[in-house]
Amino acid sequence: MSSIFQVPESLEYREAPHLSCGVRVRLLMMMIESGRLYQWGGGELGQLGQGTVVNLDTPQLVKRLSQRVVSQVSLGRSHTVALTSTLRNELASKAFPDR
Amino acid sequence: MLLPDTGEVFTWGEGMWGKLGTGFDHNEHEPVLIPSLSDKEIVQVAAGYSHSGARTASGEIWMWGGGELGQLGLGNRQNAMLPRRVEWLIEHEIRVRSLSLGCAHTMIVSEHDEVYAWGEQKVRQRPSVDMCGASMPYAHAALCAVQWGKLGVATNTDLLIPTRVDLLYRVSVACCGYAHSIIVTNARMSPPSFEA
Repeated sequence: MSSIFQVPESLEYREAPHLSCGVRVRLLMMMIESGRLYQWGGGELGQLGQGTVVNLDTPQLVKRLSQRVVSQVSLGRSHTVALTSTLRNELASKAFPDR
Repeated sequence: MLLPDTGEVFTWGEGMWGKLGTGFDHNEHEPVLIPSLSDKEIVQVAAGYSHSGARTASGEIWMWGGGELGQLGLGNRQNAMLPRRVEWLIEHEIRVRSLSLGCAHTMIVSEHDEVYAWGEQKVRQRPSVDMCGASMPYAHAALCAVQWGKLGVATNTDLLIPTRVDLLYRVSVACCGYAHSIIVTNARMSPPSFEA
């Protein structure tokens, strides 16, 4: 049986507690996994946070926030607002000492 | 001692109308911090089509971005390049427990489970508030109009300040779409100020 939703291969077997999507020319998607933010989709205005304006077919870590714990995100039209948690940063540094 | 969880707010992408809250309207290709929100104890962020917002732990609302249609709730039609507090809510002692942004309208649910809306109205017909899902035991869903009249308030102008949506029941969720809104009320909870 096929599903209308395809789980990107790089996300399989990962926990995805938060998922959000916005729209412009292409669908803009993001998810938070263990406080790390991943984005993919249309990136023509830099809305994927990768430092470029390319589109992404697979989820990519938003590197500038990789040392922080992202607790919530919201997608608008081609822009993104994210909330990070400084308290949970300390907890995360213990939970993820490699970060 | 438990330290307060002081969240920081980052924005990136399209900067039109100042909706990144950086003080500028150019695009940002990587996350940038909004410094003025770092000491505000932000617990929720929201992005709309033209504007952005944040809610503090104490129930204040900060808005920035496009304001031409009143969607910032600041009492005018000006864009805000930096976050500004919605003073009307402070003056009326309304503490907010959830925030939702649509295309050019905004809805909040207060701590007393009431909905306030502001922004673009675009009424070309009377707003219709339909009660549906009456057979559902737990929640009556009140659908606040479609396309035109999305604020659920009987007015034909944009609302520049928060305006209460008259509902018979307490509200559990209010959510803005692009050009419509959905409010879910809870019939099991007693009405806010409605004498039987």
